[in-house]
Amino acid sequence: MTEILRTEGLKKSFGSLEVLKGIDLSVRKGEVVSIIGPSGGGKSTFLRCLNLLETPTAGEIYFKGEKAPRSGREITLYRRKLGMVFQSFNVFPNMTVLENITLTPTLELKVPKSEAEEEARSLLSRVGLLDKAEEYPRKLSGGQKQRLSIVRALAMHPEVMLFDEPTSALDPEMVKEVLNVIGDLAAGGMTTLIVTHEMAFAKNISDRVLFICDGVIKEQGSPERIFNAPIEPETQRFLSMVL
Amino acid sequence: MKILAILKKYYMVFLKGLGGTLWISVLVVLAGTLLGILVALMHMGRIKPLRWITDAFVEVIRGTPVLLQLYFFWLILPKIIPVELTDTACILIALIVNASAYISEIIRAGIGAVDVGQWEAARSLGLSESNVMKRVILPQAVKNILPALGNEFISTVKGTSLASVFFVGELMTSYRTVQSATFLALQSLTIVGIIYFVLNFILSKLLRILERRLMVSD
Repeated sequence: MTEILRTEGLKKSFGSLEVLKGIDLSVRKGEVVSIIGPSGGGKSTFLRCLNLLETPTAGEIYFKGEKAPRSGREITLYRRKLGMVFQSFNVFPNMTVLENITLTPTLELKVPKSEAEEEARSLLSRVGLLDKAEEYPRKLSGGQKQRLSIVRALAMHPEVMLFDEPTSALDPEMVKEVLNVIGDLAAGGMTTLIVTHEMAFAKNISDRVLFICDGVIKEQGSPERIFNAPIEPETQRFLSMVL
Repeated sequence: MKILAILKKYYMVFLKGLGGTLWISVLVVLAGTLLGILVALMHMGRIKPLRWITDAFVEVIRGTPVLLQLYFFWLILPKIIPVELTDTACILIALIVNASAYISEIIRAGIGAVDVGQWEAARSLGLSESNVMKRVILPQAVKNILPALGNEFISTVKGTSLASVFFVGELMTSYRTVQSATFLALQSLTIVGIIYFVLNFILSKLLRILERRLMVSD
């Protein structure tokens, strides 16, 4: 399969603190990559660098062989290829569920309103939220907000989905409904990178698991290999603590 | 009972003054808000010289008395602007500039109070920077700042009274007109005071209703 996303020597520092110390990764189209590791190890920063919410200090990102832009309008266009889902949902509280989804397609892709709403409704029904279309987000539970934020990203037809701890802020009984949506998406062929603490989930859906620690990929491999036979001592220590 | 007599004889003067206060206030609030948004955006923007200039502007306006600013604009504008300006125009410009500095600070605080996650989510979707601001951040900021903005509007209405120093036709000027015609200072002042109070009371109630409307989505 063809490569869709690649990083070379990706580094990120905040002041004197070097959070990413050179990450090399190549992701194939349709691949599902889980990123695990201790807090503060750089997992989220790496994901945020991929869609340029953080500007890398050094190194390059290639999307379908093309260098990611560094500034200006190009960044806006680049970000449309990557959907992002955040730990804290970040749905827009001043808009209805439907408006949350149609906002960007109608404004930026000039999709006619009726068409955008039709697609939004079909996305909502896919995640079981069709009856909430006219509600404001304050009426939604955490799990519903996160499902909304996923379909909001999907409405821009991204080629890669990035999930930054999508279930960490959820009450336990809502984790499953969100993971199911992500699982369906991944199974449907969406290229997916997910930072997660849900080890069982990572084991089930991933083609590959990365263990990121101290700003580098310490170890990577198939989920079976990483979870059943980790080689690096850091990986072993981390897994013994979370499993 | 002298108050009633004054009202009977001079009510047109007070009404005219009220009209003056109203249109000056509306103009100052609208233009001051527009200019204030512009100042706030420049203040928070990426262009450093603009940031310094707006920062200095806000500090100077906040650090000097309004009355001084009115005199200053009244004196300097006719000198630097080729077209002839009336006193009223000079005073209007001064009030607008003054209001814009205060309003820009309120807007800046309101924008700063919007959760950083909202910026990130809007950007990650591929919204342009101007749409991120216009569609996602500003609507939420407006809700944050409405109470403070309401206060600013009310003090703008009261601030227009300073224009009477230059005999620009507004309520305080009406007071001075009636007072010099009747020598009944206390009575005319009471009438004008009541008009100001009622005006601002209605304004504050209207703002309260608007606030509640906007809270619908929370």
